[in-house]
Amino acid sequence: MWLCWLSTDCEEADLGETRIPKLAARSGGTAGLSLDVLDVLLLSVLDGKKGVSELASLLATAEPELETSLRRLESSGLIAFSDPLPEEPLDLEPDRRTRIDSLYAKMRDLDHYALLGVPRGGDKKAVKRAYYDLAAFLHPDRFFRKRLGTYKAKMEALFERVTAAHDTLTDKDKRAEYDAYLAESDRSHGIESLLEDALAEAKKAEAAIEKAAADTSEPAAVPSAAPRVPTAPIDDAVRRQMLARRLMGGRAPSRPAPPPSSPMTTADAMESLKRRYQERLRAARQAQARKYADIAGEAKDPVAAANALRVAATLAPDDPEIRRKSAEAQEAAGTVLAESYRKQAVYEEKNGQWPEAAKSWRLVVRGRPNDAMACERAANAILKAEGSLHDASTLGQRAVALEPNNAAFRVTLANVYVAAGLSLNARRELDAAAQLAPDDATVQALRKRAGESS
Amino acid sequence: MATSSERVIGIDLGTTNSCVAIVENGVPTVIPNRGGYKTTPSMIAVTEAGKRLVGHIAKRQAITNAENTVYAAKRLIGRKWSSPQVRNAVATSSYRIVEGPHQDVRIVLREKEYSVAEISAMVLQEMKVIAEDYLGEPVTKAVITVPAYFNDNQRKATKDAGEIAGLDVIRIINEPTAAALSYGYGRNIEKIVAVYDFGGGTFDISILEIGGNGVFKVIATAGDTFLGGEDVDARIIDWLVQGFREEHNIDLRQDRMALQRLKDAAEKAKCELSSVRETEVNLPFIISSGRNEALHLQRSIDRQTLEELSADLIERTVDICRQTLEDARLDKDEIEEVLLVGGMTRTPKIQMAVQGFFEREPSKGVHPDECVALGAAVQGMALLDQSQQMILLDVTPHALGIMTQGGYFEELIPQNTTVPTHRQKIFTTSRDNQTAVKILVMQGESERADENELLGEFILTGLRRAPKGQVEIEVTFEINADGIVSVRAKDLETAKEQSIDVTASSGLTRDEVQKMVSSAKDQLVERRSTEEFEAAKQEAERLVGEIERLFPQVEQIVASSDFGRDAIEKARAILEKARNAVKRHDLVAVKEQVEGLSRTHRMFRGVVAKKN
Repeated sequence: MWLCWLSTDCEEADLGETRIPKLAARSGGTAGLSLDVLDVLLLSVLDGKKGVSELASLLATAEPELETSLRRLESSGLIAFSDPLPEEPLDLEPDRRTRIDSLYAKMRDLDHYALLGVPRGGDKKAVKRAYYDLAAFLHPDRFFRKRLGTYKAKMEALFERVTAAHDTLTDKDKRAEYDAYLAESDRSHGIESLLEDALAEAKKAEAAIEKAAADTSEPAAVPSAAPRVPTAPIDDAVRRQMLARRLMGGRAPSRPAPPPSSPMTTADAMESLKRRYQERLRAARQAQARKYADIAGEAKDPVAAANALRVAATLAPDDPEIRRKSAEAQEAAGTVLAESYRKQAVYEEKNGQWPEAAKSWRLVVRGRPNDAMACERAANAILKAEGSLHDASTLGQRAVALEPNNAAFRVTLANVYVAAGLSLNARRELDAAAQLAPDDATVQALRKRAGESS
Repeated sequence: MATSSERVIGIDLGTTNSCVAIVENGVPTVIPNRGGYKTTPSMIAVTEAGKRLVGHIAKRQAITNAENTVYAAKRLIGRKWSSPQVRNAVATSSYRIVEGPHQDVRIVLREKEYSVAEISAMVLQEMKVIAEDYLGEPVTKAVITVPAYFNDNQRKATKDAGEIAGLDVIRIINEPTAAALSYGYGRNIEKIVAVYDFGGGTFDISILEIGGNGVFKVIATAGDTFLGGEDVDARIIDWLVQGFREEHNIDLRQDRMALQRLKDAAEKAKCELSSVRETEVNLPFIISSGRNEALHLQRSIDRQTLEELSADLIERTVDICRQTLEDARLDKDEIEEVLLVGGMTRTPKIQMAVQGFFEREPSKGVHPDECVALGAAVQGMALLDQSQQMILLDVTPHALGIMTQGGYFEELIPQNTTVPTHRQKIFTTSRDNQTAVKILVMQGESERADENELLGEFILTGLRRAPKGQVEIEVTFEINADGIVSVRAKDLETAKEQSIDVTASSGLTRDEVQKMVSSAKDQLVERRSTEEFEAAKQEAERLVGEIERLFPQVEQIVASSDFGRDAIEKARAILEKARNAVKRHDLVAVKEQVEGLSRTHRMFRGVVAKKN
């Protein structure tokens, strides 16, 4: 079953990665050089093995930006490039390698069901069968005393991962807990996609109204609730030509002609028609916006309300009432979403899944940008997950900016700085923390340590 | 077709008998010894002339050379001198057991000391020779089986024995698992099976799931490495010795030769009673009385007597079965087949007990003496021949962990975890300014560290000086597919790391561990428990809430005095500290603050109460 998703999107090896950056043999420290944060972070993660793309994903930085930094460091004599290691001889068929690489790459992103290739409601037997297939493929004994190189570790990690999936899904209690977590995660994904749908719907509604206003001579009807196939936008110039043609072509105007007292030029006629067209358009939009606002008013689910108002606000951007309501509703929906992510983050923290927790906390922060605690937890989780220290420091800084008097937040930020090798910054935060909490032993100890190491 | 260099034999190194097998043209086959027997006694002897004897010939001369004939060496392998099992063996064995230089066990034969691994190696070498004679070519690769409940030290010692015997031991596997492999091999079945393995020296129960595609997954396993046919024999010997004493007032145990004859007779009687209802123990001239008169032992024993003598031993095996089923989270009716392995399962009473417990007639599909060696051969072939569609997913039979402050055992990898696997946990220092931490790697199920088996130890040094609980140490346990345990400890701040492959078969004795437990100087880590933190956090938050509730009232009452204002300031500081400690997830700090909070709370309540 899992063959389906394996074959659809196999990851391709990065062919562009030919040179491996490493620390120069005799680099005399960074003093006196003007380095930015990325440079320092980069220096801290170079190990002579990771290639450019791997470093880029590790530091969550775009490759071109990273390459710029690498060139700068190279010209400062801090780093050198080496040719990639010669490919190791392996007793492993290429297609098997591809399959292992592909599985390994998305190991963390897949939920237990997707990993095993079993539908959500799949029974114990289906879970077992899928697990046995994968276990037989991944167990290191399959290649006993054979050269597996780096694949041995990958296979063991994958084997552990599928075993964990099997053990969770074949145990009634564990499965129930996991399903609850998945449901929460689905819920947030559902909300996310609903919000996206709302934007698409708003665009559709707008296009429909425009089309109606342009095509009919009657006041634009409120489009039916059934979504219309979006049409290609009509170029303004083309539209103007169309109008002019209609005006001059002797066809009965759709409305009583303007009073004859003011003789009309073609341009005037066009202007007036355009004005009327736009009035109609606005009226239609407003009618439709009110309709959406009404729907929102009746909706019990804050997410549905937010969606409807989002459409309404797009249709009537000038209506202050709708705008205010929409902003409120967006915030309410954001709160629901952020709460859902928070629940997930707590489950993930509990299970030591730091990369996942980091992701979830980031999403909490997105929904509640002013939640200092969420920022701090996100920074901490990223640090624990050995994720982008750049992001961790940004989030840690935000937490501190929001609550400058929280010593604990400053300690977290200091820890991020320490990990990034920015001891001056770390010391600054710790000093501030010490001011805030003069009796805190941890702060004192960390401070002392920061003092020693620099 | 495998080339000769890839030939691999499977050896069931039993307590009383051993067996060797090979897969020939896809058929697992037991290799008979020169005498035509499919099993060989696991006995070795050294004659007066210094000649080494193994197997049947060693057994045949045992009575006349009791002191220099070793049997049941498997009960001693990988054990420490101080272990109760070794103490017991010292008291009851006819050969001499002494303490070795590494708190290990040595056996003295004709004035020469042998390690237990060397003794086992002699048996293994005999099995190797049997295979080579049969195949007409040298054999080096072998899979050797051990009881599922063997710990790492016992496994390592067995592997060492194989190496001493000139074998490349490609894998050590569990006996019940091997039995299941021989049962399921080439059958394409999907079944959950229970393997009840009651051998000469050990008892194991394993529950496995056989997947249709050649996957054998062990779900749970347990056992007792000192519970076997030997113990039943000992009961019969006791019964005979006691009867003899009542009749003649003479203790037969004083005479090593008499004891060896009794042992043989007891084993023979036990085996006979599996097929007949009554048998006779007849040992003429067993000992001479004080008046230089030869005494004979002649006594009949019936099946019921034997059953009464061994009832509690059988009950123990059933208890372990019950526990294992629970560990596997399975109901009896989910077990689709029960396999009986080991000579003891020929006993009708045991067959009844197993059938009674599982409510299912045991399978006749495997040969109790041969299936373990056959399964070992199957596993060996599957490992070397990539085209074989057979994979064994085994579990770790014992929990693995480290010793923590106060002599507790903190588990990292639970019992019955599928291998390969790895687990991490974060610990903290247990003393102020502790700069080194000793990691004691242990295996077992007891909460008390000293009741578990010590596998190895190492020290992580250069920790930063800090109050206790503030330096975090990440400990990682890893078990690879070969069953090798490795442990790493990492100082999370400096990323300094120490690691060991746990292979040491000797190390500290239980006594030494005991001493460490009681010593105040030991530098062990403390666990950073989330439950503990949650509890402390809840308590702190409850107190913070209470104090905040009382705050306005108290402020109003005491604000007029300098003292009062001072107290209010202090209370504020404590609240802030407590909140910070909770936010930081700092267990030690939260616990500290809880004390301050409850003092403040008491004081506040007092102030408010006095006023009202």
